[in-house]
Amino acid sequence: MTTFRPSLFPIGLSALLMACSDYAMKTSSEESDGAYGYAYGDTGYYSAPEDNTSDADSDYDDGLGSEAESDFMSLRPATTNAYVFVANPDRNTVTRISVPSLAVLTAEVGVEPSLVETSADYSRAITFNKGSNSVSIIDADSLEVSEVEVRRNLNQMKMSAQGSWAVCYHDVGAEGGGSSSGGAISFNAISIVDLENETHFEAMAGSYPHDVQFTEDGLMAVVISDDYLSAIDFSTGQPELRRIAIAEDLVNPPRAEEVLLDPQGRYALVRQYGVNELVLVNLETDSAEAVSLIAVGENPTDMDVSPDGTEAIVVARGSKELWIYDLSDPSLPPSVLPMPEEEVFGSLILSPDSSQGLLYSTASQESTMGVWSRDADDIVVRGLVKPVSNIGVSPTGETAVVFHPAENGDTPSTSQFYNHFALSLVDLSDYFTSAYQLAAEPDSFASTPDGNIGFYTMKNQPYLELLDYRTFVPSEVRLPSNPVHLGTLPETNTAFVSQEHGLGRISFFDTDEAVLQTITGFELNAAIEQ
Amino acid sequence: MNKTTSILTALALLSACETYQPDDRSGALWDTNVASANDGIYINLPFAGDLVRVNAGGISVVDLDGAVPNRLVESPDGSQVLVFATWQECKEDGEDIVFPEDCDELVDNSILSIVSDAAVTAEVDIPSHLNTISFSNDGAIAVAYLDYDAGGDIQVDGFADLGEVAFIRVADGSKGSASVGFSPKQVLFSPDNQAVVMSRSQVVAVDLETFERTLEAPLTLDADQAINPSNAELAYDPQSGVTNLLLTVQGSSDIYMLNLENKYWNIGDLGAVPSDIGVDETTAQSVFVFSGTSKAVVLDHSQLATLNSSSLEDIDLEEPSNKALMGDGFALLYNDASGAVHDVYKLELESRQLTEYVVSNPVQELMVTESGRYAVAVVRPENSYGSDYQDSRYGLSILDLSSDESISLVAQSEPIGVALVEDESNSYALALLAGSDTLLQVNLASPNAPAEVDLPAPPISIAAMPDGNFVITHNQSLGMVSILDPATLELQTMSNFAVTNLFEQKELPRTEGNQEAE
Repeated sequence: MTTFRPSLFPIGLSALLMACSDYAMKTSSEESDGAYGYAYGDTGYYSAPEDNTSDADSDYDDGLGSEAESDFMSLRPATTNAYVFVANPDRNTVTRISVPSLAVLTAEVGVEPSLVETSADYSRAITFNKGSNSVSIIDADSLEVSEVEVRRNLNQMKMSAQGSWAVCYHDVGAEGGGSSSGGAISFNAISIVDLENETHFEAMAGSYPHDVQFTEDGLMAVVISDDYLSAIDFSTGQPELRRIAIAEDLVNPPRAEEVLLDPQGRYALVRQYGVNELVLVNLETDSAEAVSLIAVGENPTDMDVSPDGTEAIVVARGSKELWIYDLSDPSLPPSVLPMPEEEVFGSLILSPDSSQGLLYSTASQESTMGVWSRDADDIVVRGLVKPVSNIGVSPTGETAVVFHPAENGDTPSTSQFYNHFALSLVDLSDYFTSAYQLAAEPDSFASTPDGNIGFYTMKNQPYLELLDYRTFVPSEVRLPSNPVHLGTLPETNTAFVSQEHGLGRISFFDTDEAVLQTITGFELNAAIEQ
Repeated sequence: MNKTTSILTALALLSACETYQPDDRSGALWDTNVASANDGIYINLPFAGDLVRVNAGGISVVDLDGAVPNRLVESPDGSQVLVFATWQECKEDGEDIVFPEDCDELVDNSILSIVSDAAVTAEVDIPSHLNTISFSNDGAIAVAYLDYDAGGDIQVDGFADLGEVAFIRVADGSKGSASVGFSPKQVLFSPDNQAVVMSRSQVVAVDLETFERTLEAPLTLDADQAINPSNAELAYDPQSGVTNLLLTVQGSSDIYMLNLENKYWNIGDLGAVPSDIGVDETTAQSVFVFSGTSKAVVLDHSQLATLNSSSLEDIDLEEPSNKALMGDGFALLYNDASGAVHDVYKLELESRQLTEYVVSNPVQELMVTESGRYAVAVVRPENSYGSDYQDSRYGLSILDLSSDESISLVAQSEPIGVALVEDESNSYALALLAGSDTLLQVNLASPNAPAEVDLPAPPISIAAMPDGNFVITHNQSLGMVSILDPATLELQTMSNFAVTNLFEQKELPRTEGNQEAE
């Protein structure tokens, strides 16, 4: 039985980041991928920078656009404590790789499985099959598969942690539009799947939904659109959907960039692009007072939740302030901490022990980072070799991993890192920093659960790069082919890297054994007849 | 045997006799590809259309019920001989049809006769195009299939499934068959009593009890892509108790590994296109060699499910080797294709110790003694040579595998047959040289003074018999074989068996009357 922390925490983030300690990098240039996502401590949805939002209902725009944060790429393998599930969209199969034996079995699912998710108790995996407009429900142990048809023209899916319900929707920003065969096409119709009873329900959410979050008990989900939050109540066994308007201008609403859903389902907190207020949605009432606005500084660009789930912290980039809300009652007056006037910080990442926060901006092109000591409530500005594209923190919170883009910003042309991607490791106890020039753009990052080793891969580079958080000495392991996805297996010090290969390839690296093991050709297994 | 001589001999003999039917037969009187069984030597007489057994007791004609033998294969234990044969059937009716010449509508029927003690114990109908046979590990099942690389004409009667593989129980002649896809290439036998058949773009396993297909594992998911296996071996992992199929494919550096227990593939990269595989059960490792690359790759069988950096180990060689000959715990790597390579390598698989032997001339054939003490290479003349005497001649190179010593002997003519034999204290090579009436017994420890055995006629081939003796065929048109006792070097020669039934006019077999009689 899975136990949940009683505090507020963003759904999805807890299941993925905390369990797997891995995520992929997302930069503004990757908008076409469309799988906007989460960062450590970050709240639900996060959009790519919007340079074309002049017509949006925004109060403030400093011209820098949104901050970019990391996300999980679509089609990444899903993990349980015993299995890795890899969707093979070209073969209509899902491959299950057992851990630690690495035995491979393959099951047929619907046509073109594009997403795979696993339940928190590891008993179930599901695939969203874009080609057959269906969801395949897979028993993780027996690999028995049942299939439930869903609406056409959907391309995204989210499952509750319990594995009881799944919601499929069409995200216009996501890659691949789902299949449709003519007739009227709806972009806000969604499919709700009762995974226990293999039953499909249809409903209409707000316009252009772009995320779904579930409450901790899985009895409520909210479908996030710019104009509406659609709350789905599963408590009766029949999904009941209620739409709640979150924008005054429902025709051209500001983009809902981040949404924080109370794990108990009491409220949701919405940060909208360029709006100097947060939208607080009371999900327990059906009245007109369900939606209220609460103050925040100018141009809030990031909203994070403290690791203990008691606070929400909003970075107000425009007014250079941190706004800290008590999540037991977000309507209470927040505390406000000024940030250095001379710096531009738009993003925040908190250490796992919540003792420190790292402030940075992916939009300012400035080579600085702020270290916020939460005990002393002071912010120390540290110089970096290049501007920041992303920051991660080791699971122990002792080391920051700073990724730098190839773009130079304020980097002098004499720098060794000029025109190169780069990475910096920062010891958060004494701020010792070590920078590394990279051969290509890093696209995935993960850490072992014990917090000793970090991994990353770079685009079109057949290497698994290792970061020793204790010594800062980097190393690399050659992969048989270019990486596609990187992650770590729960409760192990094993990283997995799926790679480019026509018949499927995945490698495992156990940091205890320092051995790379590779399985290739597992897509052939689906065609084996016995 | 000289074909012209055979025909002239036959014609001379025939001219002395009264013939009442035209005889258009031609060809050799006997086939020197003999089959050595426990009870004697079986010899195909193509001119007479008969099969005879020759042993110390004399000549016995095997009654194939009118069928004409084409090819002989002895079972691994020597207890039986499998005879591919055909019999002619006339599709016309008529009491005056007695001889094949009387019939205008003749049809050939292909059979496989199982022969023991000079008698047919079972007969199996078998498609005429099946040209290759393999035996299961216990010799109980014979598997016949069409191998395009085996050469010869492919004969098809009516419609034929060229992917059909026939399974025959040697004991009783019961038969099953399975279609394994296009162009079967090789058959292996797994410890769990499965025949694993490699064919184009797939591997098929057939249960040898039921002859049912138990597995069909494709090598590609693209129906338009043809992947042709080039070599295959079974590799047993003693740690997991799992047998894996190792399969290489033409033009690719990939090594396909099929776990035969859990039925899943893993594919590794050997870094070059391999030309041969050798499997060593002692160390549970396999060796791959590459005709175009100066390296060998050693594969550890315990790491096949998940290849890691130590699973495949490159061993650098000075010259490329295209063949791997396995001993107990070691591999001999050599090149029988290149005229420029003189290196033979001994690779100790446990220690990875590599010993290089340089032989005088390019290797034509390499053999190793059962004890693993010596290897013997038949070497051939250099492709281009000047005045060097040794370069222009055939020879034997003897490699002492316990040291890095090798001795090269020049042969007076081409060695046409070499066999190795050992007793408790010595190892010998028995060599036949073209045009020589002498068999040389070379003591591999002191090869400079070989013992000579006079032969009654020039030899053609030498082969081991199930009882440890050797059979030598001779270039004698009327037939001559000798049995050599390697311990005493005594010869027992039998000859003139090829004239058996030479003038017998064959009637059409298995006519209605005959079948009723059966």
